[in-house]
Amino acid sequence: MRAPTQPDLQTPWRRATRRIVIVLVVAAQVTAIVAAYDNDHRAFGFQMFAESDEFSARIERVLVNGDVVAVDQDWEYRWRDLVVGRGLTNPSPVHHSTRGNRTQFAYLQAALDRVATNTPRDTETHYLRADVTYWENGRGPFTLTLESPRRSSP
Amino acid sequence: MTSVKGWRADVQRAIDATGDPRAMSLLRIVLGPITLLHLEPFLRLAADGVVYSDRFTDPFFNWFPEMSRDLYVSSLWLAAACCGLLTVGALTRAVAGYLASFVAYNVFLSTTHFSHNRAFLVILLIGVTIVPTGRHFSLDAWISQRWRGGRVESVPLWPIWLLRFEVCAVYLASATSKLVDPDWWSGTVLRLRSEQSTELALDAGAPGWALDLAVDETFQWFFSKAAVLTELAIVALLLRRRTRRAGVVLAIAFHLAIEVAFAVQVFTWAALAALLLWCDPTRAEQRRNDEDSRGTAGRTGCVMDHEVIGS
Repeated sequence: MRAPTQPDLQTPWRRATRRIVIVLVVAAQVTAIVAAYDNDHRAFGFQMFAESDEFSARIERVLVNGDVVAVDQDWEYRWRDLVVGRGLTNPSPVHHSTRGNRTQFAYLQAALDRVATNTPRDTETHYLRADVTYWENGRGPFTLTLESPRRSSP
Repeated sequence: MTSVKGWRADVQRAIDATGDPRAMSLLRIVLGPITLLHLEPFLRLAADGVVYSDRFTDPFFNWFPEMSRDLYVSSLWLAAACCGLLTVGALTRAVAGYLASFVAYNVFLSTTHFSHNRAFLVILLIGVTIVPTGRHFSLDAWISQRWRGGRVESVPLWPIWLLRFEVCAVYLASATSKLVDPDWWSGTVLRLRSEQSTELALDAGAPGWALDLAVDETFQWFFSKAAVLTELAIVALLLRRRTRRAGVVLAIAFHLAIEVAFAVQVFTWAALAALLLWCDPTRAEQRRNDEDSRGTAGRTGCVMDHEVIGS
């Protein structure tokens, strides 16, 4: 079955626009795939089942006086209420990093930053710290420390 | 030189080609329930009074606008309703546009919302928005046929070529990332993933022999290579007209196997739905008519290519 031709679809303007859109989409997709190798979240990089990593983290508050206190002790906030999901609600046990450790560390850093800047009733904490133990595709354990920005006016 | 010129002319002709969009209309129909499945966890939370901002969020962009709580929940439920409208084909283009916009907005609200299957779903939804998929197999078409008389309308095919490119890009990117990773190629990643999910699989009733096999080093050495080569083979087969049907069959088997072994949200269904992009009812009808005239009807179900109508 042949449909009627549609000459209005073949104007120079439409033909040029079509080509520009195709080039832009292809370029954007190829760029996203290449950039994903150096990107925490690998957005539009389509690296499926990339890793089989694991991690656990101990989250602490470093007080203005230098003391270090676990976030589940003596605090007017509760970490598990502030950070829900992505294995971060209770990060102490060993968790599988669903999207790989690189992404998991980015989540954890974002969580520290967010909590540090959204706990106004806390006047003691200078910054938050996560002591991370991790395994990369079965190798490890390795350790890493992540810190939130210093709170300017705790 | 001549072949390069010929190839360029073919590309130019393909870019400007028009053809039958009914396969895209079928894609639109199945994307309705797939999108609803994608929205289901967000809807479930919203029904319990929980939205993304009550949980840990990490915006992709600091400048990204956030809706008020009520507006977000209303938009979410409207998106759920639109999934039904998309399948039925009512106000098709507006509904597809809204769904593509909302799903994309929701994905970019937080890095924690992002996953590859959701990115792929966004791409497909944009595709069914660009192509006028409401002209066939839809309430819109039924109404317009009553008004104007129905016929298969020809539309520009370039969005379909682009979607085909995206589908191939997904397989190629996935395969390449595994190919360059020694841990993946050696089977370590899949073996460890299998070990980590053993308890869940046992609870789900998976047979013991299958679990033993899944954590076996030798088996995973072979299986990982087979998985990577399968992804590459799907692209190679899909790109050639003569092998396209084999590519579709291989892709179906591949995705169903993944669905059985791993939880991949809506990726299996979206990837299977995307195979419709290689189907063209017009050529199938032509082939069937030809076979009818030769007395060999019944051999052809669906032809895996678009006929280019006009250029």
